[in-house]
Amino acid sequence: MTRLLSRFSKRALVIAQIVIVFAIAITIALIPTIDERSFNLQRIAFFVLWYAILASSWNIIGGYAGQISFGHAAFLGLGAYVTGILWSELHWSPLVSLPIAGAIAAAYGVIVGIPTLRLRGPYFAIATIGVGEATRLFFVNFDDIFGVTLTRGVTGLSLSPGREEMFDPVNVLRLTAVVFVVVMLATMWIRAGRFGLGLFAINMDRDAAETAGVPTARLQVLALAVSAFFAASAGSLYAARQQFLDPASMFGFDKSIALVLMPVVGGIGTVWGPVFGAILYSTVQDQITSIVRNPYLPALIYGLLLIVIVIFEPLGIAGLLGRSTKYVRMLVLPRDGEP
Amino acid sequence: MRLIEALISALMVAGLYATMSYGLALIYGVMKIINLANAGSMMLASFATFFLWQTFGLDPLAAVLIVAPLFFVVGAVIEAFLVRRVVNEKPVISLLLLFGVLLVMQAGASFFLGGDVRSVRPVYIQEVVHFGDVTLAYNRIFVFLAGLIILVALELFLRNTFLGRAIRALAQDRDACRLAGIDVRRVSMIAFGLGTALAGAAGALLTAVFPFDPSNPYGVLQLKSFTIIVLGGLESIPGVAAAAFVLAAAENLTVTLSKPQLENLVSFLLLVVVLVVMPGGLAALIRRRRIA
Repeated sequence: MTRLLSRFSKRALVIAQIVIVFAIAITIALIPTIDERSFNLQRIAFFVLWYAILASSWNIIGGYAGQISFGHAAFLGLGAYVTGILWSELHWSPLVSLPIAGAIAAAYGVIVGIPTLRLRGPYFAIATIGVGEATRLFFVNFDDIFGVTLTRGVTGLSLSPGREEMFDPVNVLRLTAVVFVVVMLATMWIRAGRFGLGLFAINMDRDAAETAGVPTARLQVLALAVSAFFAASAGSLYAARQQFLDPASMFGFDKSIALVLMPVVGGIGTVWGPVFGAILYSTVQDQITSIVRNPYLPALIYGLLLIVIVIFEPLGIAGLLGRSTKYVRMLVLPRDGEP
Repeated sequence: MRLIEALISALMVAGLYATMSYGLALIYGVMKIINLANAGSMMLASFATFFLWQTFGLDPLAAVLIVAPLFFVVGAVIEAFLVRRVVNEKPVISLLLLFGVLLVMQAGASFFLGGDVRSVRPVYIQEVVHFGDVTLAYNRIFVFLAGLIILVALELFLRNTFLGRAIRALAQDRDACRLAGIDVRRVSMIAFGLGTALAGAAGALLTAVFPFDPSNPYGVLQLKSFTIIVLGGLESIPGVAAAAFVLAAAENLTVTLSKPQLENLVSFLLLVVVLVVMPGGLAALIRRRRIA
């Protein structure tokens, strides 16, 4: 009986998760239809989904493969700028440039990953600090270096939209919901399949994984490329919604912190952890700026939160929820004992 | 002539760069942990030095003698309460923990002390000395000498004292140390404290040359010290010293021969090149030569 239940529940669990993903996306996509004037709610909904996409993309390399990236804002900013430049130079719709931006960021991820992920130890984490900083500087000085006018340096890049439909915030929100579904299904699929199994094996014991025939370096580079692709698509969505890009907001330290923080606080290496983290982060971020004047308080709180979580509950919010009941545990922590 | 001047001035900065990287290499050697909070300790030490100078008029170079022991205690406390709990976990965990510590240090400093740029101006800050055609600032010479003294003292300590040998033994084989009766926990704590004290010393020396602000930890200096230890081979103290000079020279030559904005790109490019060409760093390169 119990065996029957467990076999049944495994499939039911997958279906339940897919249903939840679609339910979230459809509910949010319908917000503008239900109430056309709910601009504030639409903005919040956009950023929850947007941060969830970013956090989930970070989780693929940081959570599944266990390679922490401290410079993931590089991929986010790259995606945003590719979309921005393709619009302002060639008038390509963000709908078209989103996959292009993703592909370019993925290629960048491969270039960064091949030298750094091949090695053991903390090389990747160290290199990402450099990647983030160097990419920011590159985009600040891009016009100077090449003698062109593309990124417009620190002044920022404005995407004056004209009458392009894809810049309507409602359409952007719907597109974001679609990307959210794609990202969630992708992370669930990776987690359940051979690819994810390989990544977890590397995360637990690289030598053992190598011995068992897991192509460790190749899988990790692939994970980084997938992660960069999704982070860059979030960048494209941001460019389409805000219609203004500058290096400080796209490549900034605060973005890279947020990208580490959300999955870790939510539950590193779990499917739903990044989503929990994104909900928490975007609400805190939204409220805190209106309550406290000091701009440094959030980072202080996040730092303390990070320490507390690492010491006391390494699986974050997902771990805390998993303690409540068996069914919640099955939903948020599909497999026992893994990160 | 400009080339020689650039190289000598690089040598002076290298004293500071090396000092800020020894601690990182030491802690990595002993605990196989990257101390992301290194630059945070350095920044806090700069603040401590600034307040010592402001309140008592204490020279930054003399402040090293007060600040370094203070940060030894800070490091030992961080090790005893936080790092010790995660030292046997996956590397991810310790990276995240120390990233949290860095955030707290940086945001805490900004929150309580303000985000302004500060600078310590000792009496000799404007003074220069001429060696033929080469002009050098006194403060850079002093910082270089301080870095040199710290290097020699550290090497002597690691080679000639029981504790120093225990630290080096721990870097080689943790389990063998336990078998040999070394108190691994205590030595780890001391090593982490010593590493943080070195970051503290670097923070004090930094104020004599550069202005500083609470936001500097993450970006530039952190990256530079990582580049240095990767180039130096992660665990070797003389390797770190040599790598510090290589980085400083590369930066100075870039500024002299090309665009000043590219200075900070240099450390990143160097990092990538080293990772691709010689992952073991300078130390491995020298070792390979010796065997061949």
